[in-house]
Amino acid sequence: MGMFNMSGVKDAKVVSNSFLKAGIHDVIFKSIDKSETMNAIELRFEAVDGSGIHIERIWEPRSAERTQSQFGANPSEQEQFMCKIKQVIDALDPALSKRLETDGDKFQAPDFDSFVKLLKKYLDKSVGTQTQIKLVPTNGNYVGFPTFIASLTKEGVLYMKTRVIGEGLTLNAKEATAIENAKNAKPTAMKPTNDGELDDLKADFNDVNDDEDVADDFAKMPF
Amino acid sequence: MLQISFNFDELTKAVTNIKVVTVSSKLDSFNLPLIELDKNKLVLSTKAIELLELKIDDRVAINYEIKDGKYIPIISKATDFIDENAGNKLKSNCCISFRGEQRQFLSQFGSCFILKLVNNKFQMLPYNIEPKNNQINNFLNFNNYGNV
Repeated sequence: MGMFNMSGVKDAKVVSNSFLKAGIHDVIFKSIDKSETMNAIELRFEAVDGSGIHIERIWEPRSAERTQSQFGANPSEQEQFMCKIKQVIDALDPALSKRLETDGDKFQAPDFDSFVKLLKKYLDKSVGTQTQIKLVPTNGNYVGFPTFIASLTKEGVLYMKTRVIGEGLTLNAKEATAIENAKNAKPTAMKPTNDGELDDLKADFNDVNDDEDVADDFAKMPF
Repeated sequence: MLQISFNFDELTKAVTNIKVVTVSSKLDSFNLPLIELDKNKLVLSTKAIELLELKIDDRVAINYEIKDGKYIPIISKATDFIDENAGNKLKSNCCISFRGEQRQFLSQFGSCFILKLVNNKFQMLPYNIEPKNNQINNFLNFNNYGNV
């Protein structure tokens, strides 16, 4: 291929390096990898319109034990993790998703690293797939998939309560409220000063800013 | 929609005093698929219930689509939004309990809505049943929906 050939760059486009904000975005799946520094899977997405990128980190679950709260039993970290992975597979590789329905037991690995490798083997084929992702405010100024997407019925049956990736996503009122609150967040207002608390200080500043005093100061200068 | 009531004697297992009453929604005079946001509930017209293919005790939820940066309320059975436990059950008086955060968020869009089928989803578009009530017209201007 000659040096001055456009075919190599025909699909290249300008993509902003800024991160996508909370909301529902049309994106292209770009890559799946294990994080180099953390025990997490990193899924990279780019907005279809080039407005930004999103890197979703799905953390290695630490426990397969269900927890108890005042409202009843909650799914384990492992169940939350697997539900998220299932949604990712459903959205990015529907053929694999169908196979999992019948042969789900075969899709397993002895440890986290092997599981990421297995997942990467399948999902690498889906790089370039267009889909939608749902981002909600998480800790600090970050956004990401909703953290707790699985829940348990009274009978202890696991079910998913929201979709985070795939076509035709919608927000429930809680997610929409969280997004709007984050969008409209303002710095905390300073506490108003008590009456007279800073009057002495204010008086000192008034003296300095007095025009006549400043003029006098200039007059006293030697040049 | 029919409301059925009866007395049941647990000892004799006898059912007596069966009454079947046709319950109509207060919105039925409009003969339109309307939904009104009341203080703590949603009131559905019979036409809206028919369109959504709802039965008593079906769970109904409202979610939001984002289009061009604007929210559009979508109503459907809870199972259509993946979470079968979302929303609240349709009662025999054509009402759905609707309070708290979900009510507060929907109230930004108006207090009366008409159903419109778009891409197999029922959008809730603001509808003015009282010409003097300009709250909905303000919403139309705000959210740039255009005339419904």
